[in-house]
Amino acid sequence: MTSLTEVRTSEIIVKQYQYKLKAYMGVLTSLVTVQLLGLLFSLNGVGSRGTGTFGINLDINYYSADMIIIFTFFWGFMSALLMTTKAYREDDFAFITNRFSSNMSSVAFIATVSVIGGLTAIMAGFLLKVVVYFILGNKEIIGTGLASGPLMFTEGLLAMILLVFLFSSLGYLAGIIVQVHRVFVVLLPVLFFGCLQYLSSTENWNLPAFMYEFYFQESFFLLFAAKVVASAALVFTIALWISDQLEVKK
Amino acid sequence: MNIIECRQLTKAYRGFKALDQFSCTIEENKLVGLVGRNGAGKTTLMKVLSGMLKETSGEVKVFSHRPFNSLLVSANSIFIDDQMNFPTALSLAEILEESSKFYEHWNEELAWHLFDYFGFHKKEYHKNLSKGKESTFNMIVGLAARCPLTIFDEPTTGMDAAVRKDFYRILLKDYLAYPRTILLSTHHLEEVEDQLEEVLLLNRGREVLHMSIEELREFAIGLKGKREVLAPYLADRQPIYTEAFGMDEEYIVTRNNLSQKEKQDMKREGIQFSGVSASDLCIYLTSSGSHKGGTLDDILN
Amino acid sequence: MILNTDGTMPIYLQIAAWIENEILNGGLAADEKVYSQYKLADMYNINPATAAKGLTKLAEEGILYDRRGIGKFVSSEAIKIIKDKRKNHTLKSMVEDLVQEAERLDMSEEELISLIKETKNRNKGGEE
Repeated sequence: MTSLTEVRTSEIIVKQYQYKLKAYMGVLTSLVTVQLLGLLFSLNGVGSRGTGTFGINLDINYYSADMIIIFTFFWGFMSALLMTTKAYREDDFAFITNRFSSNMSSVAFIATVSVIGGLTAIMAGFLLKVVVYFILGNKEIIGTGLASGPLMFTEGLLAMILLVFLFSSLGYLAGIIVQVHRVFVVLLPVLFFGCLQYLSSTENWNLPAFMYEFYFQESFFLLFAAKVVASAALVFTIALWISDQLEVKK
Repeated sequence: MNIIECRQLTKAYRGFKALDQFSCTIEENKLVGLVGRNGAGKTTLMKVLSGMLKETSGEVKVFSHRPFNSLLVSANSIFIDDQMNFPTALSLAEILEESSKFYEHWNEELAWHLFDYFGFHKKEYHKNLSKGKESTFNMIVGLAARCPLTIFDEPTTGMDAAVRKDFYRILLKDYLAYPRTILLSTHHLEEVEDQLEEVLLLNRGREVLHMSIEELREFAIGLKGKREVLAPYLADRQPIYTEAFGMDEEYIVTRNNLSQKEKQDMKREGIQFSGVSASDLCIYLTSSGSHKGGTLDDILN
Repeated sequence: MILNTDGTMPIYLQIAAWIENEILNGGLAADEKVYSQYKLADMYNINPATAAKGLTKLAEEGILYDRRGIGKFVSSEAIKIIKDKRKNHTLKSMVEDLVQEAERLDMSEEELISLIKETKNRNKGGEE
């Protein structure tokens, strides 16, 4: 009888991950675009103040890399969402796959680009300082935040990477849900903002505030990291579970 | 050994049954043609077999495994159709390279040989290919993968006559060199019937017949003669197809189980016999107008 | 030989007939190995199962014999069997057609026989 090829799932995941690295590197082009755009918006500054006393004029301009960071989150969300679309899922079926290996290799790919996304977002923050200094001709730069120490810097970088990953996981889940039925394209945002509106208006329990506290007010870094990773894992697991029911090539 | 087993397999799309209580078995290393009219359920069957669609009810087994979500079935089968989706960022050469990494029995030599023979360029992109070239490229991947179960859904779409001829030749040659189970759907049975071993005819999600191509070719016989001369012979026979001919002549296709004596009598009365080609027979058996009220079972029994 | 694919004669019978002709014209001698089903499939661009069916038919008729695991060989009585078969079967049905057509044309027996003789003589003349 025909000898069947026995395959290990892990082996296929690795192969798929490798081909995705090659095939989907296009997302990095959009990353660069998005971050440059964020940088451009940031150049406006978030605020300025001017005082003049005793013949000395003091102009203070505030610049912030927030835009770059928010744009990067958005990019992570959208890139992951795109990976769940029919065309991408069918790509896997041109080769050996099942839904589990296809999703796992996508998660691995998303994790990889999240690292790149997080790293470049932080770098773009530095770039902003440089640009402000040279191009806008500002004389004195006072930095705050991420770059205020090696440990702080590392933690900030890791936090950035993890958050990009978390946003990507949400995008992935949203994408998978949309794949189940088109109606979720409309329903999902409506539900999301509706719930947000409702929950933030209730008096006894305020979800957005809770979320903010849960993630961003966590002062112990490792706990923060654990929370984010666990959340992303949970989101991916739900996505995987839903995707197991999905058909390709209808 | 059976490579494919379907029992009472049903696949419904929002109430429409593309496959309806479909049962069949396909043995190892057969080259099987899947025929039937548009909407007969050919593509649905192939997609269920390759694990892309989930059966609604019934049982489907490929290599004794349920294909949906099976890595084993995916690793040992390949499904090629004219809507093949390869990663758009990869060039043709890169697609072949990736395929070679995935498929254990991938035949590098065959792949590149055919690649050159059909005049592909390494840096071309799949999405820029013409319909016919696209089909040709997909066919190369399908053949070179050498999967124990190879499924082609209308592989010749858009190919010109010369390439189609080449394809059937290559298919047979590679099948001889490396026997495996091949399922091929087609609307042009006459083009590929010589290379096939069996034909599976589908109609409205069900199996109409499944037999060897040789049996199919001798399954029916065409009778041509005067209507009143033919009539007595057809009293207790179910015609598969009837066509009026000239003033009072008729062409009738019926099962080829006439006795020697019947044949001699008919011949003496000037009735002419002719073979009925497999592809014509399949058309007759699945065209709704030809049953004249009788069901297919009446004809087959 | 080019296969006739219009459905008038099954492919496996055409394969069998071709091997019979090879035997008759000396292309295949007694105890010589005949082509395998795969070789025939390749030669005629047909499915090996179809080719096998042709070979099996010849084996059933005693024209070929089987050596397990090696292949099929031409039997020593092959030529005799083929000739008998063609006389008793093929020729007979041809004659039947001939007689029937002659009857339809109201030809007398003598006329028919003389036509056969004439044809045979003409062929002889052509050979010499």
